[in-house]
Amino acid sequence: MKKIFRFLSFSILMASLLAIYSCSEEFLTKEPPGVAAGSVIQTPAGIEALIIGVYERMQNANQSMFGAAMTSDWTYSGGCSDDAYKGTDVGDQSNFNLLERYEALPNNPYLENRWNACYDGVARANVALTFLWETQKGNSKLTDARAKQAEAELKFLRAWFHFQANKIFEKIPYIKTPTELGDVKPEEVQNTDPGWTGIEEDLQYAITNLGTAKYNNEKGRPTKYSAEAVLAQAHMYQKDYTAAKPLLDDIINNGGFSLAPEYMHNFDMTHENNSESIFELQCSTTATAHSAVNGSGCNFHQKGLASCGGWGFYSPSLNLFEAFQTTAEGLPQLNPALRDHLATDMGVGSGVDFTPTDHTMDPRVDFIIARRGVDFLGWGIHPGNDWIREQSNGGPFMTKIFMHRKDEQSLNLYQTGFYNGKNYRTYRYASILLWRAECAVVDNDLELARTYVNMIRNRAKTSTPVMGFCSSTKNLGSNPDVDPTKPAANYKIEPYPGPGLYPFDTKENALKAVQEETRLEFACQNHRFFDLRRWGILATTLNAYIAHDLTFRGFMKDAVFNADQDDYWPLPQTQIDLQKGILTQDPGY
Amino acid sequence: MTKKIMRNVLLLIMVVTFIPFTLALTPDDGNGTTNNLQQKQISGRVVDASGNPIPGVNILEKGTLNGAISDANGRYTMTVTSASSVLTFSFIGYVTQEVTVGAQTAIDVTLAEAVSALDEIVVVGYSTQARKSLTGSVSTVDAATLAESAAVNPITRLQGKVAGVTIFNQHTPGEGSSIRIRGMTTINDSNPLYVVDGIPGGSYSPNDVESITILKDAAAQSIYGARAANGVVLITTKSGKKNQKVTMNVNVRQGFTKPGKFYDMLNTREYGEMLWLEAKNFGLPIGVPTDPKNFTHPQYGNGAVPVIPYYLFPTKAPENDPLADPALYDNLMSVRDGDDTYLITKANQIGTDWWGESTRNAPFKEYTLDIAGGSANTTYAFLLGYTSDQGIFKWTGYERYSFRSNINTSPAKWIDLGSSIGVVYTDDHGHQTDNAESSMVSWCYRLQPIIPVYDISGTTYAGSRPSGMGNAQNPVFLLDSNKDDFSRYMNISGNVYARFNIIKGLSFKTLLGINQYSYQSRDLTFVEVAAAERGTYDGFSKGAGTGLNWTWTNTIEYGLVTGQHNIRAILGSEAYDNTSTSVSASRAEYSFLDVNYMTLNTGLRSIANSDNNSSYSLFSLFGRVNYTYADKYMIEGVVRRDGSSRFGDEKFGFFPAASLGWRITQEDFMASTSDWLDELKLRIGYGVVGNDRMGNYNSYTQFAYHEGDASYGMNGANGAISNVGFRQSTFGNTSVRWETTNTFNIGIDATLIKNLTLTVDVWQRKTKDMLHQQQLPLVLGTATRPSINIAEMKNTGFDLELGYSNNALNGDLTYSADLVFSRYKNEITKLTDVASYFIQGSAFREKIYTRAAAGRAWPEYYGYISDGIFNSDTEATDYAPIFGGVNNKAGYFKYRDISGPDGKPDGKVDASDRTWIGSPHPDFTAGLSLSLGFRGLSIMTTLYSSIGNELVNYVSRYIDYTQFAGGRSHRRLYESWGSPYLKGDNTKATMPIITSNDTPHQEPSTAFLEDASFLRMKTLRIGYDFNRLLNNYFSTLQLYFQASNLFTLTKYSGLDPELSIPSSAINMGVDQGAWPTSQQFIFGIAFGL
Repeated sequence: MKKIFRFLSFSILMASLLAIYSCSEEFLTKEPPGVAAGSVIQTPAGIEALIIGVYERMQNANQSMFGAAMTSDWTYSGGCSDDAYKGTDVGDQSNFNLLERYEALPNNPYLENRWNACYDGVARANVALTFLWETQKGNSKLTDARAKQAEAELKFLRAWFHFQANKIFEKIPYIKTPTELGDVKPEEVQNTDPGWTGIEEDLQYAITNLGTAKYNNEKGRPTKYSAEAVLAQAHMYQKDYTAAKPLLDDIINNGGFSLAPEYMHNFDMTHENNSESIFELQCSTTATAHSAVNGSGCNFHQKGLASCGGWGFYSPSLNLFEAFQTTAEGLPQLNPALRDHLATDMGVGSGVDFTPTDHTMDPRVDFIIARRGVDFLGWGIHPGNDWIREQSNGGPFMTKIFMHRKDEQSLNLYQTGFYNGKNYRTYRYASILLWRAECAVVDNDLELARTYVNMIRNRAKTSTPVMGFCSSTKNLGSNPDVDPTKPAANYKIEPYPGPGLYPFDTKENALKAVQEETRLEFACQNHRFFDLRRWGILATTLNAYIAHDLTFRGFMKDAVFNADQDDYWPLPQTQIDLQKGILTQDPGY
Repeated sequence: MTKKIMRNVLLLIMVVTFIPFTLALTPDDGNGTTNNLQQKQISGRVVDASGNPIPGVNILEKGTLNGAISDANGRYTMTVTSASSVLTFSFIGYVTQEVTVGAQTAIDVTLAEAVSALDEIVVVGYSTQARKSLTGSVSTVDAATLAESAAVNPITRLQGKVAGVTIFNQHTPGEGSSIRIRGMTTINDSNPLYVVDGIPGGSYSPNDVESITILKDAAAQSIYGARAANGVVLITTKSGKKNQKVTMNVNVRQGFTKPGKFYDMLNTREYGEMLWLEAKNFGLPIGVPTDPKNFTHPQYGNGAVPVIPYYLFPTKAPENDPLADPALYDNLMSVRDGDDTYLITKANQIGTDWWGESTRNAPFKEYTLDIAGGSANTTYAFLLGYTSDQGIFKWTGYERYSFRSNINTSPAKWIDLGSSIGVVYTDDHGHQTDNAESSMVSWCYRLQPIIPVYDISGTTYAGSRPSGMGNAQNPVFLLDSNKDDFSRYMNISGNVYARFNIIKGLSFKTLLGINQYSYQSRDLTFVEVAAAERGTYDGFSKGAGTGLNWTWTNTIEYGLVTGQHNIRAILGSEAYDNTSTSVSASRAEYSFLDVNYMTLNTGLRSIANSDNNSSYSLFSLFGRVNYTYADKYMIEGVVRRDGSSRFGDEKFGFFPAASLGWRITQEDFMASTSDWLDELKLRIGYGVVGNDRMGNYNSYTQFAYHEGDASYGMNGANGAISNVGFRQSTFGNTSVRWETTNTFNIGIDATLIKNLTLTVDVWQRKTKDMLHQQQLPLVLGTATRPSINIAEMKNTGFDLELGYSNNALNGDLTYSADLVFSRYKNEITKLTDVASYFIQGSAFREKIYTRAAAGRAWPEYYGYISDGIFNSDTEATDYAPIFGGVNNKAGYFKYRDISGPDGKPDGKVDASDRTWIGSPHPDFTAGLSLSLGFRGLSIMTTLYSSIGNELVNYVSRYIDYTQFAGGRSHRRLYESWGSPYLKGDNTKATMPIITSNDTPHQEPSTAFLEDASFLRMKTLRIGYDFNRLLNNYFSTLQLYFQASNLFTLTKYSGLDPELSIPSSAINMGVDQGAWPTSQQFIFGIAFGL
């Protein structure tokens, strides 16, 4: 009996052992949770989702801040030009110091960050294109019209990312899908030129196929005019004004755009996608994520009322501040040597009296630059040093245009507002007007140039200036004396007189006026360094800036801008190593 | 009898309650009266080295048949014939001891464990084996050895006790440890497989452990197949013994942990002086306020010398300044009262000692209670434990509660049943970030000395918000505000088994085990109103997770002994399934900052949540045959076939091993050496083991939704990222297989002159098909690269264990010494098909210190070689231009020109002049344990040394250089090039010139690399067996004093030369401010009934 029982129990156990063995294939299959496979993606909904994933790379929310600086370009266009300093204290982001002093080497990780951000966008566009074409071969597919438009969007984006790369790196590989490349693998494409051919072809495809209406009426989609603006800029970068002109004229004559009534409508959160906006990066926040071009907190003051934990980066330079002074006629002083020195609170404690300058100023100064004694977007009167991270390194100023107004704080759901949802107006009508003015100067049509420049100046003149004249500037922990009915400073701006008057009297002077207007209108936005480069005045401007800056702070001591070497940045060494024989280092760097 | 038990129990309770310090027992000298009669009665007690009684010891009057056997309390009584009689005390596993009776009537004996524990039973995979028949390389540590250390983590207690393993300790409360068995097997997860009572994983407290066995070579490991490549650690928990009377043991120890020395930091006055020196060196005008460039510090002023202000806020205000009127004081932020804070803060004229303000002597407690016993058929053990390990930083700590119940029974001859259940609950609390620039160690040097602990309110913490104070947080604030943070972990693990003894020698065992854990964590982030980078809203987050793995093992075991032949075989199958899930959620903005009020329900904004799931399964068949002939020749073969869900097309792998053993001393021809060579065994083994740790889903190409990284607010609305986007998140690889490691081991075990044992193993381990997420050019995008089988690694080394133990003075004096020595040499033999390919470590404030490449160890340090400092501008400008010339200045580092793009020095120093500059790997590690017993007194100590390892002193960038405007080192002012304190002799400078911008000094170079070899006294324990004085009234009463980490000899200038291995092993050896090893002083009592 006992033996039988023993035998029975043994048999049962052996049987169950075998049972496990036989079902082991199924037992050994564990699928990843919460992700989709290729088959799910190869549907209209899947394709649309992949396309959205490509758009996201334009603002590249999680990588944008320093080395990549996608879209806002603040590291390269701002920090490396005469517009701004890195800011904060000297040990913070020390790789930035090297860029600012024109000492970047190929192993500077910032360069790889930028490369990474650009080509990740390119790769996403290529994956989406490949899936799009595959999907269109099957049954569950997009309508032919949408497929064509989708392809145009993707090519627009692909050109965009390559353009972002060639702003920084002189020669880049233009990466297309394996289908388009044929025998050459994507990782075998060499960097023999700036990639203009690819950029222009892709943009031309977009212009032809995008149409004038945005897909689904969604504000973030590009139209034909968006693609024309990008292509026009590409031509401007190549000094091909003849090619740029018809594109600009099409936008001006047929696009239906106009300057927004208030300058600040281009920088607030309540007038996004307005009449001036040609292509705008859509940013927003939720409780769990943000898509911010450049964290407001990143360049926000460190210690102010908003207390969103700012880091104090991106401080406007003294050079920029002084460029905003106007003459008695309300015009800019085009000769930097003749500009007046303006008082700043450099080295002045917040508990010590300081009287801001009463010089006549372009009102845009206080839209762009945050300074002591002037209201800071409703967050209070700027008390100077108490809000500044380290004046001796970054100077006494802060940028204003990336930060949100206090009354917009409630629109920012992500944490404390360090990342805000302020859109970035990458291409706005003002650019088109100024580029067209530049072309007009080249054509010697100075009156047309003056007209367009004055449109810009008149808008600045008619915009409501920053209000609130502050007569007490000691930080007392309570509200200082402010007269809300008076402008914050002595603003005076007028259009250029004419026709035929200085500076629109000669081609040379007119060019200076257009260039200066571009600087002021787009200060601390994404153009300065690249504009100086295409105008061919990098070395003269920046070396003069270094000399001027050294009268003010010590950071640029012994720094030299060398036009042959420093006009572009070196390719990241890691990628040269990974693509030996394919990528060639910029010999000039 | 009952009364006696009652009395004992009461005493026990008293001991537990009143803790040893209050115990006042009058010692009895134990001397009996001299008996002149020829026949005399002798009584006494036999204990082991730790003072535990040894029952069943055979006591024989030499040359007679007169004898006795010790009882459960180790006591015996016998009558001897004369004072010249000699008593021999013998017991299996212990060294036989002889004692001449002489005048004594009470003879207490401490038996030393036999060094030649040939009959010791060793736990091996799925079974046990006698040590003498082992053919693989296996080390075992027993409970007594583990009890010597007071470390909270059982693995930490192994440091210096086992050869062939390298243990890297962490020093936060309830510290963890990383153990590496025979080098770094892989560039991936190198942690061994832990098996507790047959079940993978599971928590246990050190007191639960009967033995820890480490399987070190493939002969021993292969039975665990695809999971064994990093070695296997088998933990066996305590059980009772058959026919053992119930024993009850209480161990109580308590003491404190003492914070050591901190970095030598500048005080308030010196800090100002340093700022002035920086400005002077940078060439700024000083004391010329009319010059716009004149050096100005918001607090120290703009004069010729720094002036320490009275107030920091209002900035630089003098005493009685109207701006510092306390009526203006406001510590509420604008979200609370509509206007900004106004935190009036005085300067600390002397300087705040942030380390002193943040640390304390931290209490330590460990209480355990074991009850064990057994009848003829059933054994049982119940183990209870409590440990409280408070951190040297205020408000940090760790508590562990554990219990375990092990029961085995044989209701009939044909069946054995048993279960083992362990429950461990741990509670970690406070700010315990380790080895990061946000660790408490870092905050203590990151805040400037001029900032006081509190502002004028005396209750609100002061901080870095005043001008010029940098951006650090107040460490005391952080400790205080994080005191309610916790991470609580509960583990229930255990198994039930049944063994059917089918016929003699043949048995079938089925074992079902589970290992279930759950955790909960809470993290409160309070706004530090006085900090430069303060937030707006107080936040709260909570995490919870649970995981379950189950294992079902079925084995058939057969053993046959016939004549000279001894065959043992085991055949089995195993199914393993692991699932885990976790959720986390957070909110911010709370109306009340009461910790009970703050929940996920009551936060008003930033409502976020996420979850995470993972699963993994394995199915395996395995077998092992061991054949021994004449106790002399042994051969063993093992195979395992594993199927793993982690792989795509190639799920199954095959792991064989073979080994031989030869007990040379059993041979006749060895007769001549038998008077000194007691045992000599040769072992040779070769086998294959695997590693499947590459994440669970490598074979799938995945497209993932990601709100922050793929979605886009296409419709233009703020407050919603309206369009869901996907990105390709991974590249899948279905053809990937596990890593395989081929191990060759040759070893000898020897016993000489009875008391000296020696084990030496020489080994080589070659890992091939090593998984690596090969870097691809970024032009292909950034989706996670798949692991592919491409890399190869080699580890070679040898382990040595040498033990000696003996006694003298008739056994009154016992002494022993054990030396363990481990050496590994690690080399990546191949990373990818591209010879120049390398893997870089993470960037620490933009600088990368570690790198791995073929021909080098995993990992090594990479950077410039610094040949000192330029002493003059001429010397500098004559030198090859460094970084385009920016470094060619007096007082700057002279980096060596070693290479150019063509591999030859090219007359300029740039990125191609970086090279391999050092290694975090020790040349060897060694542990020496010494013990000495004299009558009741015992002294033992363990020394541990690691030689040849180097560390990157990353902290130096913060305190010697200008990484943020925080505290600075003494060295920066007094020893930097050009410092007035060098009195013109700059050759004495230990660091470069200090200036306002010292970016060029901070390149990774040999200047940041330091030799971190060390010798440390891990434990020193002095105990006395009071039971002797009480006439062995109890079974044990041992009181001891113990000191841990009493001294450390090292040249390393940081706080601690010992650093744990980070989760990304490539970043090994970068000291970012780790919690240091601290001294600990403990008083303990071991008490048994």
